[in-house]
Amino acid sequence: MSFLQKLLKSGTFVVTAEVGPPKGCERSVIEKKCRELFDYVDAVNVTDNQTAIVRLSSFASSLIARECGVEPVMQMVCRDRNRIALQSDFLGACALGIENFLCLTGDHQSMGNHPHSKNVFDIDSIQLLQILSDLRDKKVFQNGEAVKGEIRAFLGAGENPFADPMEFRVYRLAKKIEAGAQFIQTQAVFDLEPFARFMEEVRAMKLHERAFILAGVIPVKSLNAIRYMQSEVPGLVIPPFLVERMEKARDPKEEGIAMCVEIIEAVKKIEGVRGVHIMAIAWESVVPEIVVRSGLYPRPKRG
Amino acid sequence: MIVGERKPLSIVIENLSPWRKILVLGCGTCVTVCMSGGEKEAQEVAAILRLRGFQARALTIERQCEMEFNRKFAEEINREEVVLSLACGIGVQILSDLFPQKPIFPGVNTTFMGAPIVQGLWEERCSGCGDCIVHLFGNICPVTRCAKSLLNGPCGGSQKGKCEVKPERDCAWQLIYDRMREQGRLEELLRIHPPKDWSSSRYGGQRKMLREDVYL
Amino acid sequence: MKIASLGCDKSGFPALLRFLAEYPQYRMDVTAVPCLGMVNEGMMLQAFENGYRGLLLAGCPIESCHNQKGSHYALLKAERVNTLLEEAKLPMRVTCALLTMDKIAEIKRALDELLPFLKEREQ
Repeated sequence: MSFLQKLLKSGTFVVTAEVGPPKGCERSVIEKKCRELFDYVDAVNVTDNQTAIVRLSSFASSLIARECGVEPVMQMVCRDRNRIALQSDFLGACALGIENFLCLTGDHQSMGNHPHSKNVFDIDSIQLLQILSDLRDKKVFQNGEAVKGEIRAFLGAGENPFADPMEFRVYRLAKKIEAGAQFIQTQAVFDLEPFARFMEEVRAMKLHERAFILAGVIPVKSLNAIRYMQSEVPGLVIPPFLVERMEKARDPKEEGIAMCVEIIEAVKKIEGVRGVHIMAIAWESVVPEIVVRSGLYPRPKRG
Repeated sequence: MIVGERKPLSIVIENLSPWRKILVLGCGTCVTVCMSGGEKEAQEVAAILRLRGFQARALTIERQCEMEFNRKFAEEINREEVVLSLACGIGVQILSDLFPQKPIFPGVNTTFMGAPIVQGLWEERCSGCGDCIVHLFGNICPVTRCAKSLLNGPCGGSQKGKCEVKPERDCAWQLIYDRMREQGRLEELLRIHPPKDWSSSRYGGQRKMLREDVYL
Repeated sequence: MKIASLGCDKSGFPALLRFLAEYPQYRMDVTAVPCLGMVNEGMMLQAFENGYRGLLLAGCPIESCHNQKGSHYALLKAERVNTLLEEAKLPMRVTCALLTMDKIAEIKRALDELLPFLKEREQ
């Protein structure tokens, strides 16, 4: 059982963070990020060509993170690989000791840096969850053939409580859990009120008893950053009062950290939230301070 | 219907540049309806080619994708050096099967299978996956109309009914959700659809259909 | 350089005649049409095939077209023909002047824009 899974089972409020692989082959970039995060998080999400920009693969980056002593959550998106490649890479990762997987559909290639490429989307994230959980539990490939060997995998999924159609979101979450998601990392929470409402629906359907839900948060570095996220990043909903707060801030970085800490403290109190996932994109160095100031430090010792 | 759009004339002229006597061949079916390769467009393109110094004349065949319609024009087609076909990619190839000696150039880019929504606007509706499942999704095809072909619900980028990939496009899943709600069938969307069998789609290579009862 | 003009007989045509009387230094062939809406792409291209380098469409302002949409469509068709000419790297062009019959300055403006453009393309 992975360390992340053990902690969640034991009831610990977990902390994960995001590690974006570099646009190149320097392993030192990942090593540096992992060193910074080592003491402050329980696992790191290693992104899979996030926003459809080509980077060092999530598979290789996850291995590097693991060698640094940080437990990886290997992200897998359906944009670039069909069911043959996804199953094969999953088995490879299992053979090399990666135990946490996050199944995502993936950003569309037209938003990335190779917009002229073909996409795959042979399967969607829910089907990927189903396939991976069947490989582990039923010991069969997607085609029904038997798979050999013991697979240990802790399977997760993302969910965006703030996207439309809003009424369908909790049902989509239920489908993901039904398909095999054991933990969920949500899109970044900025507006607490709709998130609390979403969690209410989650509890009404008792989904929080079937999967561990980690609330996503993003620390905001500057006024420009929050404005960009508000207008340009699909799926993020940022209430105007937070933008105003950044406008008025004398020290925007400090305000961004304070805002993030407040959101963490608030989601911690919501029943069913079992951890936070800090997505400090291109600002990984801020994670330790956020973890300390949120009262989440020290982290449990790894076994 | 098949929807196509006029190939930029700069490219058409470049392709035709080694030749002089051109037959511009319009098609009277789909590309007439979508106003990219019918009689009117064939006349226009021929006029432009003449202005550029080609010897060009225009002719329109009722349906270039059917051999017998093309056969009737064998004499006309053989008379010119090359043909600029304004039919869809199907018409261009069928014509070439019939006149294998003749260089034939496409004058239209075939874009999709779709329909006119209002005058001047055409939208894609079908990808020809070979295994129709639209009834499961309120008759809005997620394979074609969702940028990620998602079968199990909207991605995280659906906002205010629009697609994150192209904000001027409706989110297929918002449309599916709305229509299934209208029909009181929302609970059907809770079903997990297994991976689709794409072997009937074009991923298996060129497809054929044979009906032995009508085959000659 | 030969210029042709097509004028709506309710506005453009009388204006073209008055314009040529007042500015004899400009030369063009003038033809009357019942409405600019009847002028299609084929006719415009035909004018160019007949040796004209420029084509001026003179008709009623959009809102006062007697056939409601005639001038509106003429503008769109002229733009389309110009796109085709541009793509084919041909030097000819269509221009439009929408006016009431006394506003001949509008014709002068259109020609003063069109003629230098055509001259430049000729080289």
